[in-house]
Amino acid sequence: MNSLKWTVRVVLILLMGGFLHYTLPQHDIVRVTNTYNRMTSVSGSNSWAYASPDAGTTTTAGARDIRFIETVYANDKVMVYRNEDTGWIWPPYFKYDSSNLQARASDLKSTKAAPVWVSITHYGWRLPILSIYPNAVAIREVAGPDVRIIPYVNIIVLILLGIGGFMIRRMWLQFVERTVEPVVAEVQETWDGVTAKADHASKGAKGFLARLWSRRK
Amino acid sequence: MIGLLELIGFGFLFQTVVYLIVRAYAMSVTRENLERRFDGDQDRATYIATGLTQYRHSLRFKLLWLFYILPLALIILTAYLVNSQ
Repeated sequence: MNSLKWTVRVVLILLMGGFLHYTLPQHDIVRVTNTYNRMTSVSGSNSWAYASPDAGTTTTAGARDIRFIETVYANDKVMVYRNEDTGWIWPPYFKYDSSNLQARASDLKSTKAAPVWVSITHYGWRLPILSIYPNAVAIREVAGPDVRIIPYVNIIVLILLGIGGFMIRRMWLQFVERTVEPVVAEVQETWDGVTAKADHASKGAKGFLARLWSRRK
Repeated sequence: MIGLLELIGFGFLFQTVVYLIVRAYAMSVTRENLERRFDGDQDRATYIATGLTQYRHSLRFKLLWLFYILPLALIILTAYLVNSQ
């Protein structure tokens, strides 16, 4: 029983961690090498990682024309971002300037000989097997590949989530203490009353029978 | 554009639920504190009813409307920051 409880807890924590890791913004310091758009297949296995169909890029028969930004890290590893409007519900970035972002990224293209380092703010994962790309949200020039960026947004969001979770717990405890427990106590009292009456009645019945019996004797 | 209308519609519904729950919690905590502070000088029910009415007219209670305003402000701020390069 205990191990079951812990399994559920660990799975929940992993799910929540994965969800936050996917949704919260992250920064990569990279060099933009190419920007383009191409028809991309958006199908059952990866459609969850793309914007909702009405967010700005038209989907025709499982394919969508999506903007991409190709980049290189300082250690020569590559990363490809998609650049899509997010729509208005989820994830809550409310991004509708993909065209401007693409223009900015094209402007910041650079070569290995004369690198221009940029910080790309993005959310999402790169999963090549499912053709899933992180979505670039913002791009800005930085001094060099070793710039340290403090994730203020993540700090604020995590603190707010912590406060929210704490308050939900307090509200639930208050609800149980003030609303559930009194009802349970009342039901308990009523039930005690019923059993007491039943005891009384059965005693009365026994007494009656006993009296009948004794009279017969 | 339909997405924006959906956000406004569902957002309003969601915030209404949040507001009502937070309001019920605030009233419950206030009532509990009043019950604890009651010293027996007057009628208990009147004392609690007066206290709750006072609370409902207080600034702290009216600040609960922030549960509508702050998320809206946060959404507008996010949209502005994300889309202004």
